[in-house]
Amino acid sequence: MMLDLLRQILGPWYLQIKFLHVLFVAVWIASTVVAYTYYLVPVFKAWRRNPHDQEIIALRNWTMERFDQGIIFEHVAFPIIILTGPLMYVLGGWTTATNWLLLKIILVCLVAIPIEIVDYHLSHFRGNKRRLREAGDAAGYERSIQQHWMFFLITSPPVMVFAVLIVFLAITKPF
Amino acid sequence: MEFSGNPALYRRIAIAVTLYINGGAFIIFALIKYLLHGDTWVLGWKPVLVTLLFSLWFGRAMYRWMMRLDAQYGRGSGWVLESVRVKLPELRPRQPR
Repeated sequence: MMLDLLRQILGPWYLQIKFLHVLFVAVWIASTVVAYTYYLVPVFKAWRRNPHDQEIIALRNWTMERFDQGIIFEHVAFPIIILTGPLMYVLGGWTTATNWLLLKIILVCLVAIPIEIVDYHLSHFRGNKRRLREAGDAAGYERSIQQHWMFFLITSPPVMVFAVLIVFLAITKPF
Repeated sequence: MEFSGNPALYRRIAIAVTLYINGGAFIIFALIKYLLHGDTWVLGWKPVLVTLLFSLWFGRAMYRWMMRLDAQYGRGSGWVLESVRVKLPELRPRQPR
């Protein structure tokens, strides 16, 4: 009943919703690529090779705080994707009989959603570096920086592989 | 405070993440196809082989990726590290309205 009403009201807007979905997927995937590749990673590698160098630590901290702020684009895009995706599923009359779509949804649930939950926590909530610095919590600040680096180490390979796979499945619909 | 990352830990993480994603995706996919549609083709040798080969590739790639990202490979000689004094811009804290 509720779904029928939703289809009736939003059904004619399917393509516009799809446009929003694709646009924000692009933002979600690409908004941090340059900052990550050419600012964050080189500085963190330098720190890992010189873990006690105070100049590198100062730059590492500054870069990490800027990244916490810059990732807002990605974290605004993600809820829009999570909202428009299921909406398209309902409006388009899709079912789990469509193999590529089922695999795509499973990958989003297994990879993207858990990663983003941790990322929100590390970037904006209790792991936010600026807030910890302003609170004078030096130990918490360092711990949060290191947790965030461990998060990047663990999530970078799956994000790069499975985000591309998710887009590939959506575009080519291979099976 | 020393960073806790090391090659042995990265190997364990790569194995765990590979099993979680690839194993999880395969099992959930197979279960949904079987329970909702009665399909059993997912358990045929081709899907199983593709999943296994992909998992092997991904696990190895993930471990090497983590090692490279964490500067465990190489000497960093591609980068110049010269001491430079700069002012790092900081955001002005927001004033409460």
